[in-house]
Amino acid sequence: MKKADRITGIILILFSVYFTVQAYSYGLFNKNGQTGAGLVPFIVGLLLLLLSVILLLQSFAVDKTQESKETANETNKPIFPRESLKNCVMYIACLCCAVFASKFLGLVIPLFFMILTMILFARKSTFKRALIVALLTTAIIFLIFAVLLRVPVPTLFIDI
Amino acid sequence: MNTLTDLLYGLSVALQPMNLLYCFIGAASGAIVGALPGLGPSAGTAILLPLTFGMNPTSGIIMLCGMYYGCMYGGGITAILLGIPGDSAAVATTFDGYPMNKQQKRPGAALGTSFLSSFIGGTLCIILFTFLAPALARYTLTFGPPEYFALMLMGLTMVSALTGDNPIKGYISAALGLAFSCVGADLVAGTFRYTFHQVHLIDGIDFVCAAMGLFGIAEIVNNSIKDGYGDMGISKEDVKLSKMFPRKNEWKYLAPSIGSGSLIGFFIGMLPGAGATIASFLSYGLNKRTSPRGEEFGTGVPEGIACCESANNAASIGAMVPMLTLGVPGSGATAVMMGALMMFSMTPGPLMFQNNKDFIWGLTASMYVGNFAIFLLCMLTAIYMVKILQIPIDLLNAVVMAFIFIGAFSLENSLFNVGLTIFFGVLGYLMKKMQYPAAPFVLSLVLGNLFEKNLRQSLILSNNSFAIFFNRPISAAIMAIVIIVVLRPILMKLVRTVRKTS
Repeated sequence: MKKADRITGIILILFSVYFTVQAYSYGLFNKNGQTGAGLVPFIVGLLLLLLSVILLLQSFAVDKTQESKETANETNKPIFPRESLKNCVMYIACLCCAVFASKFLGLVIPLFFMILTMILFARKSTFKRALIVALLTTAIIFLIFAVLLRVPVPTLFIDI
Repeated sequence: MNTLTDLLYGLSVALQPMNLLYCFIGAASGAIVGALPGLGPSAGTAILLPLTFGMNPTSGIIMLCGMYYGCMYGGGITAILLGIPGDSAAVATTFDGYPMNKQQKRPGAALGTSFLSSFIGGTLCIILFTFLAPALARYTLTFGPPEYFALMLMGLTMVSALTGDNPIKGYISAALGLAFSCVGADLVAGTFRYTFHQVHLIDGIDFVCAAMGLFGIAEIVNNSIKDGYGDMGISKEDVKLSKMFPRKNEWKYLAPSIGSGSLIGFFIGMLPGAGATIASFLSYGLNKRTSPRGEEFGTGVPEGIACCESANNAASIGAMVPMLTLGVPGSGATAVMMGALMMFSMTPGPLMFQNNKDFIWGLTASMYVGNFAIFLLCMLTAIYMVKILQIPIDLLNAVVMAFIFIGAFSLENSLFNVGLTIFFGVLGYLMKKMQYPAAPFVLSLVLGNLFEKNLRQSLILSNNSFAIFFNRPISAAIMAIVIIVVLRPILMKLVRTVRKTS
């Protein structure tokens, strides 16, 4: 975790520096001397910078007993277990593909295939069961959102 | 007398058939979501939120509230039957709930005690809420921008400091949320900030996308490697209604446990960041020390279940007090509800008790109704709820993902929000794995605009002097609490060093 904290700390420092500089460009005070659009983001940016530096320092400053415990834990337990990461990539890929496909096919068909793929990927259900669940869920969602809530769920092309 | 008249009026709103139906849907789905592994009240309210878009505000919030306290009922089911808490608030319930089921072979009584104490605890606290909330709202009418800013700062600081193991990570999460809340047109001058020439970002980032991504997608992805509950080994005979009540001789132990659990839960629930988990642990600890059968705690005594379940249910009601009277939510779920209120163009705070009586009293009355309805539902359909929990997790995940997808789309009928939700899902997953709590992030995002508005108004009042927060007695007292909370780890270290040396 300490190594991960160091990397996160550096990323957060870079982000907060960008955020603060950008906030400064919006102006901290206006011509009348009143607070400007950049004041609050500037304060938030500085706060984030300070916290990121503390996180970074914290990741270096650990006592030896804690460090040895952490090292043992780190080797035993990865932060991103392979199975969890694989599932994360699969779910996000399915969602992204559905967003992309929705541009051309509307929401209903991509939604159906998204559910089907997600269930099949988990390899715990049969194809028949996955198909039934995907069909039923799509139908129920369409009924709730398009019919009951009157959300204009597009069935074909969408302008984004 | 006024309060009772208002409450009666609220009952007429809550008992309208549609409101009753929404209350029941929210509470029933809450009980199921609360029992599911990983998904808690924050995720539940976030996922349910898109369904409230077409409703009037009162019905929408009634449904979300039902989901919130329904979760507290559900969390105990798996804690008792499998020793696996549905959410963190039910962890302490496993200590006696699981042994009562397995060692004493009384699953029905354990579940019944849990539902009964949740119901009594919840109802006692709704009564407290009914009389305390309007009084608090009247008192806070005198608050100005500095007091509100200080209150929000206190809420954010306490939630950040108390959720998660490392307070710095909590503060970073809150600061990131505030940073994201700065996106969009500035409140005063209209300057576009961090919009990257995206039209969709001019109005800022919709908190619903963040809540669904951080609480919904991230939780599902994180829990996808877990297996479902499978067969729980419970038969219809085990959870027959006659077997679900505690024995007569157990009531003398149960009554004080439920009473103390309710009080602890209500007042702990009112504190930002403390919440139902801390309340149930505190209540368990206190009852273990003070109960005449304290030594038997952990072996399956019903009061061990009662004190935790009454406390966590009471905490969920207590958490509504600061959210509705001050406009300062103290947890992820109440932040989602406050965001929903703002989405319905209602500003939570003391004025709501004067300007939106329909809503406030309708909601209060619906809590009584909903609490009773969910109690009845749980007692009568326990076996079916167990069956629902046996649905394979892969199917549930896919279905919930589909709801999140369409929910995000329905915000503005745009795929941009779906993309934004996916982005927050990835961010939430990374945060979860790196042990950054998500609640401070969502809380900051919801409060961000009000936080900025009150800060800027205060600075205008004081000619840009930050001393205004320390010159006024109420805001100075709140700021003192903020400073103590921030310096707590250093103070604790100092105290320990002094103790060691002495």
